[in-house]
Amino acid sequence: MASKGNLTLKSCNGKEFIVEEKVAVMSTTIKNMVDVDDSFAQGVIPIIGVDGKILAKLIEYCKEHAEADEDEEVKSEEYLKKFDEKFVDELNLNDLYDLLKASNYLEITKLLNLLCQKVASMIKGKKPEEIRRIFNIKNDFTPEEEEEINRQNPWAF
Amino acid sequence: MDSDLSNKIPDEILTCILSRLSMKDAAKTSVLSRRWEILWKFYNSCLDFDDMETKVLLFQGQKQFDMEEEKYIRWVNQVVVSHRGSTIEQFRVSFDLERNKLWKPFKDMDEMYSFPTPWRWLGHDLKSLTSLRLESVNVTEQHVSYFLSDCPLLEELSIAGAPSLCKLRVVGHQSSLKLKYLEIRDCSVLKNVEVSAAKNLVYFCQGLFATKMHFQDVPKLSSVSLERGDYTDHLVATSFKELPFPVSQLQMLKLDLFDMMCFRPFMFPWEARKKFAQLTNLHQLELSFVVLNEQSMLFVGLLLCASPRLHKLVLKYQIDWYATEIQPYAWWVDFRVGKTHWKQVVGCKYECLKEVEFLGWNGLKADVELLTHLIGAAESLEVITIDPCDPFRVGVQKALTQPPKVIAAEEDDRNRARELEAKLPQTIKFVVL
Repeated sequence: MASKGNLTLKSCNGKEFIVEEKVAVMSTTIKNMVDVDDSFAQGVIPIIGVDGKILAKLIEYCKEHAEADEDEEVKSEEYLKKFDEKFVDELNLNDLYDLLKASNYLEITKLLNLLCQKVASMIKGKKPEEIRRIFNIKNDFTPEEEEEINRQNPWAF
Repeated sequence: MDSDLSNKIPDEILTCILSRLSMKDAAKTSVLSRRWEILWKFYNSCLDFDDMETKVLLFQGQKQFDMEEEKYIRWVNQVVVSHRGSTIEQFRVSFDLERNKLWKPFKDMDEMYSFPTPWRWLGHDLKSLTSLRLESVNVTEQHVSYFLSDCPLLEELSIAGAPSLCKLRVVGHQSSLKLKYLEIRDCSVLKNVEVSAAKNLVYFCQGLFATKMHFQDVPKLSSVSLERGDYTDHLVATSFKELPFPVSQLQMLKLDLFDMMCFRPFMFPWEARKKFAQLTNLHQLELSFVVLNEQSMLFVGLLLCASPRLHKLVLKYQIDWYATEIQPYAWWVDFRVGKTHWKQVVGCKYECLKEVEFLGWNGLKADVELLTHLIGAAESLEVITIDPCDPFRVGVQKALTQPPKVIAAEEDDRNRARELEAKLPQTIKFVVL
């Protein structure tokens, strides 16, 4: 049972995390749950489809940002920027996908934007073959279709 | 293990990722797989059809104009026709197109018509369009009225270089016009501008000399930029009495005085100077002009005297060394620094003036004279900003690296400006850029 001002979040594989409410409500989804139903604030909030490893990552991110929102002097904009950079740089591809989905489901807008930006930067300026290799994208066009698409190339005239 | 991004991630997130890419990068993803091909059609960011590489190659003669033009048009049409998204943030085409070849698939009406009916481009109307800029596009009065009536949310309209636009009417009906920002410039045959019942219009920029200007019921119009020297000459010479909107509404005014013809004696008789209409609510004044070397800039004081509430003054200027040499000495001898011509501004007080910017500072006699005058006359002056870079160097010119000689000269100007700082009252913050 979490003490006052704290919430308990439970991952889909049963791991429980006690976090400050201000950290948890960085997620609009959790905020809405707590606002609507008081029993969530007392008991355990199940986070469906998010495992312990990813939930820990989410909490790490939200904690830094919630603290920065509260006290700009301790955690400056520059500090946060560095934190964000390090945060996304350390992710492997699978974690990146899982975090994208989780931050979308939990509506953590700042993090979702950060992750989308990260993926975009991985695509930017690269050739199609390189992008396919980075993200393991399977080319499901027939050779004829591919030729047709390349002929019409919509990215340049 | 299957870690294909496109299989794991929902469409909405992939669309979100795409929107963070330039159109070129986003379009490239359409060849990745079938799913990505569809996603690309919902790209909702900026459809920006600008290919600088090709423009450069054309400019250098390495590509043929005719062929590239055909390809360009095909490119734009193909992307637009296949687009399936319900919104786009921006649409931008930039290419030197010949009028008759423009947008063949959409061409209708008469032969010379060179502007398409754009609300048909995307298969639906342009009801949510908020900003429209048309540069070097052949629009007519009728097109403008279509846009105004078909785009009820339009807030910004900018038309530049429309060669056959001869009349511009911006008329609101039942106060429904949302337009806040209207810019119109370089339309050579435009002679008649009528704006009425534009209740939300705040900003108006005019870069042309329209002989007939009619403004009515523009209660919020408070920022005006007049960028044609001949028109501003006319306005100043008639002491602002011919401004087509109420002078008392103006809070921000930008005037391009060019070579200040209006302040020469034959344009601007002595007695007129006392009759300037009072710009009672003017908060910010920005003046652009070209001076001869040693030509006094104290004329600025005349405009300051007419603007009792002025808070900020921005000066963008340049010395015309060539004209200084060839100018017959006789006519401007009285305008030289230290001569009698602008003596009437001596003793004036500019009580509200807090900020002054000198953009194009050279630290020669004329700007030092004006600076000294302002410090004496504006007792609440807080900040003076000095920038020796040529304020008329914009766009590509600004991006180019300047020759060492120019950089050294600007550094000299900066050093001279810093020497002045010691002589200033300590209450004034002195910024050298």
